Amino acid sequence: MPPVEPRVATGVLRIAPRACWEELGGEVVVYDELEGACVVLNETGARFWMRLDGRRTTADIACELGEQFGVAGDLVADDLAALADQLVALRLIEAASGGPIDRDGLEQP
Amino acid sequence: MRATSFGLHALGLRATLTVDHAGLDRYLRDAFAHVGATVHAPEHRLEVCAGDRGAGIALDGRETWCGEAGDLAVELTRIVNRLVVWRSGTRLLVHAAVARLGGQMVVLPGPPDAGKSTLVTGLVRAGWEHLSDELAPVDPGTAEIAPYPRAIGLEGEARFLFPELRPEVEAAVDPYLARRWLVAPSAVGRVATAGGPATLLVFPRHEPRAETRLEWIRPAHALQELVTNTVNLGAHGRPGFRTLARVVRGARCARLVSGDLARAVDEVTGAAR
Repeated sequence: MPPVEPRVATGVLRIAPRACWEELGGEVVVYDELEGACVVLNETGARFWMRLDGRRTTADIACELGEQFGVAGDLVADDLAALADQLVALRLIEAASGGPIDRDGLEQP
Repeated sequence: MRATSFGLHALGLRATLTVDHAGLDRYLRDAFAHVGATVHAPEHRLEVCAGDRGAGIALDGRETWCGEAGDLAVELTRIVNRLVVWRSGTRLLVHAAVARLGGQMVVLPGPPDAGKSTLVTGLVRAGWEHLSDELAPVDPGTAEIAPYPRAIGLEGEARFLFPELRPEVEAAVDPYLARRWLVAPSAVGRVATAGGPATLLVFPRHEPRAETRLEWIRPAHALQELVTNTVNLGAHGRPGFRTLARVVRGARCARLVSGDLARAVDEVTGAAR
């Protein structure tokens, strides 16, 4: 049986230094400065992205968004975990090993 | 014959183009008139050699291409574009055609064969001012678009749509028009001499026989497509991405599927009003 990879995306996450992003009309466009790739996050994804401060877990954010949308955090959690997995795979977010990353890609204390 | 030269000065490019055939020289000189200038101390030297069995292009003394006469226009514009991209300095270059009507500037980003040159030619024939058929240079400080009035390249179906734009050349130059016509923008209509902010971003896609339709898109999707069509974003990185976001914030954004040129021109003109 292959070893089970720990799900990075369930821990405390932050925006990767390589990712630059712009909020437009409630959505977020993320540009990978190293790869040149670009993804669009819908409004829910954008709300998740804006909360990736290197302090909150995906579950914390799910609870917050659940409250905002008036639904149980569990219902949001699976979707956010899947999104987080994708963003980790794209290396646009990462496990927080230091402070949050600002808009210039620099780590804050 | 003795070869003759003229200067090319566009964006950061300072080059001379030397042609060893009098009729071909006149054709290219006319086509590139809007980026033609006296260039002292050129950074690049392009030479076009016309032979009985084909043509060749040398760049800075080294043969870069040789092939059939009909392919010369395609190869020459490709090489000039590469030099412009290389020498573009601080400007972002979006693969796009650009035109203006009154205070409305439309940028039409798209990959090759999206129909940019045909659409911008149709717009200029309908009264718009021409700024570019190939590259939209974006100033990183102001996010405004500068003109790049290089020769318009018309090929394929476009030549049937605009037969009156066929360059008038002597018979010996006819083989050079076989695949693409190079047309001076002033032969099509009015040519803008100054740039400005984009007010409308339309992403065209030519689909023969498709129903022509323009649909508004969300700005985030427009920025994603603009990134895809920016040829030198890698050299500009994060500040370049932010500049593109400024362009999008200042414009309304749409996609255009074009199966009929007249209808497409109407759709874009209607969207600009």
